[in-house]
This record gives sequence, C-alpha cells and structure tokens, in this order.
Amino acid sequence: MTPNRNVDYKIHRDTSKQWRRLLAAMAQEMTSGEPYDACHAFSHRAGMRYADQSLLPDCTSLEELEAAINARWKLMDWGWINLVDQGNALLIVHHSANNGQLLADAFGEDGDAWVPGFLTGVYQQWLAGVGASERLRVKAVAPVDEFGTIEFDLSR
Amino acid sequence: MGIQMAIATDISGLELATGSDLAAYQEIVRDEKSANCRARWPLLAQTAVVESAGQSAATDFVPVGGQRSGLGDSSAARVAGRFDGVVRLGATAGVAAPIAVATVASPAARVAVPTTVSISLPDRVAPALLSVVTRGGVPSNAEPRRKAMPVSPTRAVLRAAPQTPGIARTAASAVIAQAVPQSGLGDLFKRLDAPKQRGAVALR
Repeated sequence: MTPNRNVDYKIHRDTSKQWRRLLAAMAQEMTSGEPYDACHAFSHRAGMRYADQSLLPDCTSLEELEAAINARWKLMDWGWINLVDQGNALLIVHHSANNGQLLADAFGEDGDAWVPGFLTGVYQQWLAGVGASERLRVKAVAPVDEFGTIEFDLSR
Repeated sequence: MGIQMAIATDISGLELATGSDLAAYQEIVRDEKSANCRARWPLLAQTAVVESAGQSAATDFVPVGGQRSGLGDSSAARVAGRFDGVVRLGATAGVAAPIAVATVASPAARVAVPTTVSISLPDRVAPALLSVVTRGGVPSNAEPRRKAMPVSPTRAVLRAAPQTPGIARTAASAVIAQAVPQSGLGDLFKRLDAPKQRGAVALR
C-alpha cells in the first residue's frame, strides 16, 4: 500500500511480449465504435465468466477472503487488493489493476473502458459465491488512478 | 487514466538506462526515483502518521497564530499528537486542491485539537497555516463537539495541495481499515443486505 510497494511491484512486471499486440488489437476492436455501456457490459460478463472458472475457496472472514482473492491475482500478476468493512458497504481497493505497464504497452487508454467492468463482474461473482445476496451489487466507485488503483464497493 | 504522474514511464526509462541489470535498476529506483517521488509529494513520505499508544500525547499542532519550527522537509506533515476528530487541510487561500490524505488514530480524546496546523508544501517556502475542522465540519475548537466524540479509534484526514487521486488513496489506504471491527463474512453480508436505516452515519 505504500508508494515503495507500488514502485517495487512495477519493477518486476511487464506485459508479455508474446501477447502484447494481440491484446492491443482485441482491446481496440472491443472499444472502437462501441458505446461505453456495451463495452462495460461485455467486460462485466467476461469478468463473471472468469470468476466462474477461478472459484475461491471457502472463506469465513474478511481476512480469509482478501487472502484468497490476492492469491488469485498474484497468479495473474494482476496487483493486489484490500477489503475494508465500512459498516454500510464493503470497499474493495484493487491496487495495480493496470498490471504495471499493461495499460501503456498493450491496452493503452482502452483499458479504462473495460478493466473496471471486468473486475466488477469478477468481484460480483466471487462475493456471491461466498454468500453475498443478489441484492448486493459491486460498483466501481472511483476511476483508475495513476497507480492503477480502482475502488469498488459492495452495497445495496 | 487520469493524471499522468508517469511513474510507469519513469520506470521504463530506468529500464532502458540499466539494461537487464536488475540489481542496478532496483537500486536506482529505490534511491533515485523514490527520492524524486518524495520530493514531488512530501506528504507521501508520511503515511505512517499513527503514533504508538505509548508515546507522548504531545502534539505538533499549534494553536491559532502559533508557529511550528523545523518545517521544510518531508517530515513537515508529521502528526505526532493523538486527537479526536477529522482534520481537513486545504481550505486556506492558495491551496487549490488536496495533496494527500492521512488518517490518525485517536485512542483518547484528551488532547486539545488545534484550530490551525502548519504544513510545508512543495512549492512554498514558508509553512502554510491551514485550518482544522472536525469530522462534521465543526471547527476544532468547538468544545461540545469534541467532547461528544467517541473514545474508540477514529480517523483524521489531512489534505493539502496539490494531489493526485493515487497519492491520496495511497496515503489513506495505509490506515483506512481501523474504524470498523471485523466480523464473519456471513454477518457482514447480512448487515450490508439489511435495509438502510434513516440517519445512518457513513464511516467515510
């Protein structure tokens, strides 16, 4: 969470050269000419599908849930999260969601159009899987910042 | 992607400069870039503003018209005292936007909350005197409000100018999760799913 950690994390991260151009082409096609809502809805569904394919283990506490999610993201080099019980909402802070240079190298600015939607879908599905009711929805509450941090919350 | 502070770009430049020598790369990043970051954003170096309970309750805050010595480096925003209430910095003329958010634990509400605080900003030679308000926007010298605050740990927020969203979030995230006791996931989801009661107080 510290600035040093943000910098250190990026040191060891780089977009796979193998997939960089492919990802860029897909992202550009996904976002070109389409209204933002369509891209967001598509990426949201893709996120839910990803979550279904990457189920979390049983968790009984917020700490366990945070650790389980972080284990998933660590495997993908997709940053890390903090879960914060705010009383009337569960705050999900996803750090380095741009995976270091991922946005700049592969997706450019297009990442902003689909990454929040994708992660929203992932968290929605994951949290439903550990007991959140359908009335509780995950929403992005802040745009991606310069560190690639995105904030979501789970609330009614 | 919001404001481009170009950390990723800076790191790319370092990578080009050092080639594949990861050790040199890391050393430069830590020694040079981190220093640059702190030079740009002095408050960034002060995310750990919570003093241990065993330390003195004396505060670095100064009363109205007071003056604090030793400002000018990255420790300028240090908050040594423990107090109860929210401190918002940034309402002073010439301070256009927040630069950082910090949270201060307050196990006890015995220390008087000052009405202003001196803080050093990157583009200012002289420390700025910034006003302090409590969580509800009440001036910090409003005695009844301060006495009414709970003794349990609470948060204080420091804001000065200028800031980027990530800086503020980074500073805040270090101490953001102290206000609400942890509970089991089942209880948490039940609580979140319960209809909201009128007059409920948001914690952030």
